Order: sequence, then C-alpha cells, then structure tokens
Amino acid sequence: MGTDNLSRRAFLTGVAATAATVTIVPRHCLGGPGQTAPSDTFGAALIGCGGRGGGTFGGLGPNVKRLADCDVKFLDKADNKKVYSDFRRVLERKDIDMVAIATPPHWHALISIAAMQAGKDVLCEKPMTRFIAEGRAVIEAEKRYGRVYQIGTYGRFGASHDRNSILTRKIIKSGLLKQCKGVHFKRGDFKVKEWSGKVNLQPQPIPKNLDWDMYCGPSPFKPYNVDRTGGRHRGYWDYEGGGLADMGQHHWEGPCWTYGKDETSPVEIEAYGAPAHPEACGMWGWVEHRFADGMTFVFASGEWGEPYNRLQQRGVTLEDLDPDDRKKVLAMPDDPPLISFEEAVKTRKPAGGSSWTSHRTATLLHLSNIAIRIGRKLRYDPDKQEIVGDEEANRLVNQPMRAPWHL
Amino acid sequence: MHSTFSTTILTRRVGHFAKLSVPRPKQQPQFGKMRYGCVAAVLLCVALVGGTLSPAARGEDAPKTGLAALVATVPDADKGGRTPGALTAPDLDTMKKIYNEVLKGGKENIVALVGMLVEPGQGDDYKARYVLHSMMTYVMRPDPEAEKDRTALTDALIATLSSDRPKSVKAMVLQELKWCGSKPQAEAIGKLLSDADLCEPAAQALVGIKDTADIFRQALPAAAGKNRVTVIQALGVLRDTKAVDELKKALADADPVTRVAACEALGNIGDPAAADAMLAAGDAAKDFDRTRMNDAVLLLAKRLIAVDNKKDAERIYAKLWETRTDPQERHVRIAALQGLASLRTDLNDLLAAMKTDDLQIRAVALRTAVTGLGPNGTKMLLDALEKAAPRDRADLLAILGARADPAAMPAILGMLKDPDEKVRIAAIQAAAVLGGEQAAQAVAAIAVAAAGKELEAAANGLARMPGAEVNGIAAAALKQAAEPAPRMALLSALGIRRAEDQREPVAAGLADKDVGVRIAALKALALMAGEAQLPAMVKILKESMDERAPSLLIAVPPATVKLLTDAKDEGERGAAESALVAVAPRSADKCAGLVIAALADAPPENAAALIRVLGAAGCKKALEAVIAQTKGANADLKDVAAHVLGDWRDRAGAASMLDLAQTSANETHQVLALRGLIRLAKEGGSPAEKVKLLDSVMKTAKQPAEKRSALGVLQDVPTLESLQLAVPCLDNDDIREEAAEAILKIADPLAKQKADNVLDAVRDALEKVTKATKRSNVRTAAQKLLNQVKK
Repeated sequence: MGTDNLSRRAFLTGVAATAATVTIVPRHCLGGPGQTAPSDTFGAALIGCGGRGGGTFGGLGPNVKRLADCDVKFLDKADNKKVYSDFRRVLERKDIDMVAIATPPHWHALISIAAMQAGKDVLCEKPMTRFIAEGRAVIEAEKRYGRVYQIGTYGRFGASHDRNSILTRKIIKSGLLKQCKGVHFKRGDFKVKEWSGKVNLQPQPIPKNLDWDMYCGPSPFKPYNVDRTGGRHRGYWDYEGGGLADMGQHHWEGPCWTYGKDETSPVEIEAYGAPAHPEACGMWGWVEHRFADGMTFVFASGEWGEPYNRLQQRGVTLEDLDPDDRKKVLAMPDDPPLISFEEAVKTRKPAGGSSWTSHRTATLLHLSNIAIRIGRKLRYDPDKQEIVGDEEANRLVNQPMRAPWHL
Repeated sequence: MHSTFSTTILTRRVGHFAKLSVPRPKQQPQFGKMRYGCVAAVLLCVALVGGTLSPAARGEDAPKTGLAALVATVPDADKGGRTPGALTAPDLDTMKKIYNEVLKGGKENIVALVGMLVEPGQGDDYKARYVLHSMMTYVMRPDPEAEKDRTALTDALIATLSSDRPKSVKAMVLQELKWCGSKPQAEAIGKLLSDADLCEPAAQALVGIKDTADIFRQALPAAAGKNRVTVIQALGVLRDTKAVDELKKALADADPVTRVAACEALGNIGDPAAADAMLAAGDAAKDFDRTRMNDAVLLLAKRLIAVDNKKDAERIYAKLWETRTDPQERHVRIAALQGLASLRTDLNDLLAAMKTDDLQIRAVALRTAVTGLGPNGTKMLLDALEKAAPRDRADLLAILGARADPAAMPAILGMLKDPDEKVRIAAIQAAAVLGGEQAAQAVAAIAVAAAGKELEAAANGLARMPGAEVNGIAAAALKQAAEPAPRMALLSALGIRRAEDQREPVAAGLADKDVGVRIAALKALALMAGEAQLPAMVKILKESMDERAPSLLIAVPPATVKLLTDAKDEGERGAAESALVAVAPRSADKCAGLVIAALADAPPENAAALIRVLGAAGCKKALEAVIAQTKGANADLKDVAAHVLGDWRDRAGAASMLDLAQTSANETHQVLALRGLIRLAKEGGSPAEKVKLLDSVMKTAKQPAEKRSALGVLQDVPTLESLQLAVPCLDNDDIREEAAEAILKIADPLAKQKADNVLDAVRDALEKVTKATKRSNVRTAAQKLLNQVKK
C-alpha cells in the first residue's frame, strides 16, 4: 500500500507498531540474572575490499572482529581461511555473524540476499541495488529470515533528527493535505561527467589475480577492460548506473524520509537527457518525479543541456493545512528514533535504513535512469512496482541475470 | 575469427561450477594475438576510415549509399566529459534525424547498420552501436505508428542471427532483442539455446519475451553443462508447470549446480508435487547449496499459500521447523515460524517461541505476533492473556498495544492495576500506544501519583500518545501532582509534545520551589515557548548563580542532583541557555533586548551564556551588542564574543568580522573572524559577493591555512573575477599548489565560454599553472585544457 492514500489512523497504527517493538526488546539482550546476554563481539567479513570496503566495514560498529576478507581480485592469494575470492565460501562459515558488502553494485543485491539466506546480518554499501526487482528480493530475504539489513548511507538518520523534517513528515503522513504542492530539488553533485562510461572499450588481458567471470557475475559476460573495474565500473549499465545511481542514494535518503516517500514511489517520471548508449552511462540534464499526492522531486544535474526551469523549490508547511488540521498534525507524536545497525543487531529490530525504506530511494534512482535510457515519460504503479504501458521500459525493472545467478 | 573469443567465454564460465576450488580463467587473448587479428584489424580500419565496410570482409551486402556517412555524423566520443573517453551526448533531435533516415531504408538498411558492428578488439564501432541501440529505444515507443519500424528492426536483428556474422556480434544483437524482442522472434532466438556461446544471451532475450517456456522445455533434454543450468533457470523464472517432472529428475543430477538450479526453479514454479523431493534434496545438501535449497523450499511454501494451498505450505513449514535445529539454521526456523504463524488458528507456536532463550527467534516471534497474525489475532491474544503468567502477560500487552486494535482497550485498562509492576508498565505502554481520551485520562492519573519506572512509563506514554486532547489532560495532571518527580516528568512530556496550547502552566514551573522542576520547565519551554515566556526564562538565566541554588538540591530526584552536583551550577545555566538559544530565533528582537539588559549586571559565567544567546538571536540589535563585547574589558567575554561573531549566521556580520580580523591584536580572534568570512562565502551569495569576501580574506590573512581555505571555496566560483583572484596566489610558495588546482577547476567551465577576454584570461592562467606547479598530474591537466582553449 502506498502511503499517499494512507489514512491518519493507518499511519498512527504504523507508528504504534514501530513504537511497540521498541518496548518489547527481548530481555535477553539486556542480560541479567537468569538471562543470557548476547555476545559482546560479532564475527564479521568484508566482501568487496576495494575503495569503499574499509569505510563500509567500519559501519558495522566497534564490537566486531574481522575474520575474513573476500574479493574477486584475491584469486592469487585466497587461502579460504582469512582471504577469499568466492563470497559463497565466506557465507558458509559458522563464526561469521554479519557481512559488510562493498562490491560493485551489480553484486549488492545478490550477495545481500545470499548472506541473509545464510543467516548473516548485512551492511551494504550504496546504492542498494542495480535495478528495481532486486530491491524487492532483498526485502523478501530480510523479512523472511528475520535479518538486520542497513544500507551504507545515513541521510535519513540526519533528517529524522531535524525538527523541520519531522514536522514535514507528519504533515505528509497525516493524510490531511488535500493537494501536496511540495517541490524538492537536488541540484548538482551527481558526478554525471566524472562517472560516465567510455563508449568503445577494447579487450585487455585479464590480471592474474582477478576472477573475471565472478566479477561479471549476473551481468552479461564482456571482455575484460580495466575501465569496467576499480571504481570506474560506475560508468556502465552492467554494473551500476552512472553518478546518478551512485550519488543518488546519498542525496535522496533524507528527502524520502522527510516527505514520507519511504514506502511508495512516484507515479510519473520524465527525464531530459541524451539518447542512451547500450553500455556506457551518459549525459542527462534533469529528471522530474511526480508522486500521487502531488509532491515533486527534481534531480538537476547542472552538467548537461538546458537547465531545469519548470518548477520552483517549495516546501510543505503547516500553512498548507486548514487551521483545525494544523492542530491535529501538531498533536501527532514523533516517530520513534531510527536505530543504528549496531543497535539493530543487538535488539533484533529493523535498522533505520532497512531494505524496505531504502528500496524506495533506490527505486527513484532506477526510475530516473530508465527514463533517461528510454527517453520517454514513464507512468509507474508504486504498489505493483511496474511501469505501466511501456514494455521495453518495464524490462529494465526486472532484468534477466546470467545463470546460475538469479533473484 | 570469432571462435577464439567464444572459446574463451566458455572457459571462463566453468568457474561458476567449481565450489571450493575456483579455477583461474585463462588469459584473455590480446588484440594482436588473435587469429587473423592483425589482418582483420587493418581491413576493418581501412573500411571504417572509408566510411563503410568491405562486403568481402563481412560476406554481406554493402550498406546503402550514404548510410555510413549518415552514421558518421554522430558526434565523436571523448569530448565534453571530465573523464577521458566519456560519452559525448548528442541531443535527441539530432539523433531522430539519423533514425528516420536509417528507417526510411527499412529492414535492408538496418541489416546494413548491424553489419557495421565489429567484434570487440576489432575496431571502433561506437557510432553504429550507438545508433542501433538508441534507434531501438526510439522505435519501441508505445505508438502504433512505430509498429512498421519495430517490425523492420526486429526482422533485421533476427536476420543477423542466422547470418555468418561473428558470435560476439550476434551476442550484441541478442542483447538488443532482450529489450525489444517479442513472440514472433522467439523461435529464431530459441535455436541458439543449443549454441554453447550464445545460449545465455539467447535465454535472456527469451525470458524478456516471457511466453517462451515451451522453447526452453524443448531445449532441456539436449542441453548440457552450463547451458542446462541456463535453461533450467529460465524455466523456473517463467514458472513452467509442465517442466516439473523433468526438473524433479534434475534434483538428482550429478552436478551440484544443476541440482540447486532445479530446486530453485521448482520453488518458484510452486507445484506441491515437488515438495517432498525438494525437502529431501535440501536434507542431503551441504554448505551453500543447502542454504539455497532451504530458500527454494520456503519459496515453494509461499507460492502455495498464494494459491490457497495452506495444507501443503503448513506441512513444509512444520518440517523445516522440526528439522533445521542446528543453531546455524535458526534463520530457516525463523522463516518457518513466520509462515506457521500466518496459517495456524492458535498461538501455540508463537507463545512457545516467545519463551525460547534464542534472542533472534524470540524477537521475530514477538514481531510476528504484532504484524503477522490474521484478523482473529486480537481475540487469540486476549484469550492467551487471560491464562498467561506475569512475564507473558507483559509481552502480550505490548503486542496488543502495538496491534492498535481498540478491541483490546478494556483488557489493557484492566491490567493498569495488576499486582505485578512489569505488567502495569506494559499496560501503560499499550494504553499509550492505543491512545484516545480514556487511555490518556487513565495514564495521566497514574503519572500524578506514581514514582520510578511506572512514572517514567506514564510520562513517556503521555509524551507520545496521539490526540490533541492529551495536552490538556497532561497539563491538568501537572497541576494536581504534589511531588516534584511527577511534575518534572509531566513537564518533560508536555515539552516533547510541543504543547504550545499549554505554555502558561509549563512556564509556571519556572517559579517552582524545586530546582529540578524549574530545569524541567526550562527544557520544556525550549521546545515550545513563545515571547510571553521570555522574561521569566531570562530571569532564571541571570539568577542561576543565586546562592539559594545549592540548598534547593534537597529532595529532588537523583538525576537532577547528579546534573547539578557534577556541573555545579552548569545544569540550570545550561538548560536555560539551551532554552533561550532555541527560542531566540523565534523572537529575535525581543529576546535580544532582554538579554542585553540582563548582560549589564550578570556574573561573567552567565554573561558568556547570554552572549551566546545573542548569537542565536542573530538580529541587528544582537550583532551590535556582540561587537561591543569584542571590544570590552573582560578577556574571557571578548573570546566568547569573537567566537559568536565568527559564527554569525549571515552576511550582516561580514563587515564586523573583517574589522575584527584587521584590527584585533589577538591572533585567535583574527583567525575566527577570517574563518567566518570564508564560511559565509561558502554558504551562499552571488559569485561577485563570494569573490569580494574571499578577496578580503586573501588581503587580510597572515597565515597560509586561511588562504588555502579561501582557495578551496574560490575554486567553486567559476567567474573571471575568481580566476583573477586565484592567479596571483601562484606566486606564493605556501599556497601555490592549492592555487593551481583552484585555477584548473575555475578554468574548466570558463574554457567553454566564447568571450575573448575570458578565454585570454584562461589561457594566461593555465600557462602560469603549467610553469608554476610541481605536480605532474596538475600540469598535464592544465596543458590538456590549455590545448582545448587554444583550439
């Protein structure tokens, strides 16, 4: 159910449910007489040891012991004891409670799902996924196995402490707005040029230490070229989605929380960009997302084409409500504070950046890129999570994977 | 020529089948080592330079006259992007003209376009690939008028699949068909499922088309190795019920990858006839294969529930719950437990799970009871509540509250007087979550008279209870409370609620005889006060050094005692300052007036706090007072004022900051002021304003650190004036490299302008950078940009 049509009662029920889970922290986690206290230290592994690896691992918290490092470029030194090149072997270890995943994004969903299927908790570097259907599968795994999942970006935590954001969220989620006129912009810092791809990569010899087949994984097998790896993978649809996908989760986690869009998605998406290359992520000017309640999100790259000039930034305030409704909103309780990955692991409550909230942020990015790639205005069904009336675009929502990898 | 590459693909894929040992793939052939590579490359290059390909080299018809020239009009890559080689982006209108010209020639023209694609490593086919792919997207628009073009395109792509083009080119074509293929092309694509190199891209195209299970099923008997896994996976994704028998046989395949793929396919198809075989396969599997098979079985149960086959689903969940008893598989039991809870008509499984010592199972059981029970959930929970022991009653009450079903309210209110404190607290929390006037009155009545954890629970409940009527109920309780502890707790609750309609009763707490209550009132007012409460708040701040304070510690709650004893009088002062800082921006002028008046005779410690409050007020009156303090006699207060001025929130403080930086004898004050100016430049304003501020910093700063910081901001201001400010910094040894990098960043967008004076300045600046910098990467980048400008 999208939140745009959510009744106030239903919203409060949701708040209540979350609040109650706060009150029913199993007493075991507190220790004490007659109760078993949780282990003070968790066994952990880092999967994907390149650029963001160390930082992502640090997000697991202080009480973890790094038992294994895994990377497809460790082919020449993997001992399957401390160093691995195949994440499946890491997940078989019984002493590993949690994993930090910092591979390129085409592996994020599959390794997250596999880790949760193996009973591990997961902290995954952003972006959460490479396409929309992956997000739904990650959610399914988190819920099915009662795991803790947190995306490695924390914009929604900041927003959840900001008084203006808290009020805006209440206004939106109260369901009392007759027509939302809000327009929220993110201008620039999408690294469009920096993380665009090269258009005619030529085959190069595969480095001896690299398991290239495993690197490609679920994506189409292509000849090795160094530009497909090492951070520059960001510029190719096979592995990510340009600077928009890479930076977008940073930029939109907070607004999605503030504007109550962490359980729904836009219904119309329109992009202005250059016709897309089949492999390399390219140039775009802006993307406009309209939600069912009237809220608009605008991505403006500032790096290509004519600047966006359709709408002006406009917040959502109490002035948008009738006087009686303002009082109702002010009387609404605050959401309980979002909890960190570390606390979530100890208390077995969902982390602040759980899969079902971050998936909606990732969906914004994917819909943006689909609109850019397709070059047409899209209509999206946030409940079915499908593009309506455009078969080609819809195939980008759920993309086939190279066997034996699949969702 | 293609066979070398294709064999390499096959060799690489073997890696998927290895479990513990992952063979290292062979080296990918290099361009020069490929069979016929050199000759072919030369031929292709000649052909491309000539604008067409040799029909003899390709064995196909030559492109129509003009097609190669048309494709050549696509802008070259490797311009415009910061990254070398980044895609240059033509606009859609330019490309549409090209599409329409290509499409005018129909299928034949598109075949010729596909003929311009080359194998990887054999030349640059960027423009042809780009036109083909983007044209595909263009003709796939949902427009009946595009139907003819769609047919021509897909016919052309299919024709390529049966030609003698290299397999890598056919793979590219299949990747296009993955997005645009439809049922009429399925049979032709299906023929490639038996091709070792093209099976995978063909399968992906067919999965995209969707109604293609027959083709995969027919291919299954002959498929082997990697192809067999691909076909099995596709049958699963397409949920082909007719393949179940064959897939069940594959559960016994000698190859573990095939067994897992079959199990996963069966799980997705959702046929109950496969359940026992899948469970048996999972029982026998080990390590990661067992993990995947467990998941497949759970998926099967979910599929069965979706078609209302609860009996078989329940049997699967029960089997997993009973057999996956190794602690390492408790997550599988967790999944089974949630499934069982959704199907059972009683709570026995969940109640048992809630009592387990396993934290993870217990937590999920509790959460499932809140969100995973059906419509009879509340009744089942109320029945269980009647019979439960105290510990379980507390958990059940929490669950009932979280479910937010009003039907549970009578039972919850009844438990507010339970003999067991934990039960009472759980009932308070549940009532608070459910909300409503009746619950609010009951919880407020408890707050008035309670202590300890029960009071804490009641206050927390009131703080977060929904309903506008709660404010008044909590304020009424505040007046009734005889002891300080309930008064403090209720004040805190009103503050958290931002109960602006109850400001007066909260402000009355400022005059309370108990210091803890006064602090609680201040903290609450920080969240909700209006102008009317300001005088009383300032008075408290001014008098917080009052000698009566220590004597007021008697009989206040431990937390407040600790607050005040640890920090001496910092507690009261801190609370007051926080309150005023929060209120000040809302009533800047009035607040500033009150604070300035209080400053005159306030003790120094409190004067410092008052100056900080002036910073929060941020109005003209406050600024003048802060400036005066920077020139006062008390050194400590001058320090405070310099900090406040340096943090001034807008440009109104800029002139005073500059004055302080230029005239103060205190080096710290100079730096604080300069950093304030740099911050203001970074935070906003027009480019000209930014440059003006940064210019003043450059002229005033004595230390390189501030100049470096200024350059860091300047580099994001791409104007001629900015460039002119940065260039002289190249002559300063301390900041030369920072200046060089800033100039590069400023010059990049300026280089795209057309004005001669700008381009002249850019050229001059870049030339100076190439001579001044000692960093080769900076020099190279500058030279590259310089070359562009010179063009």
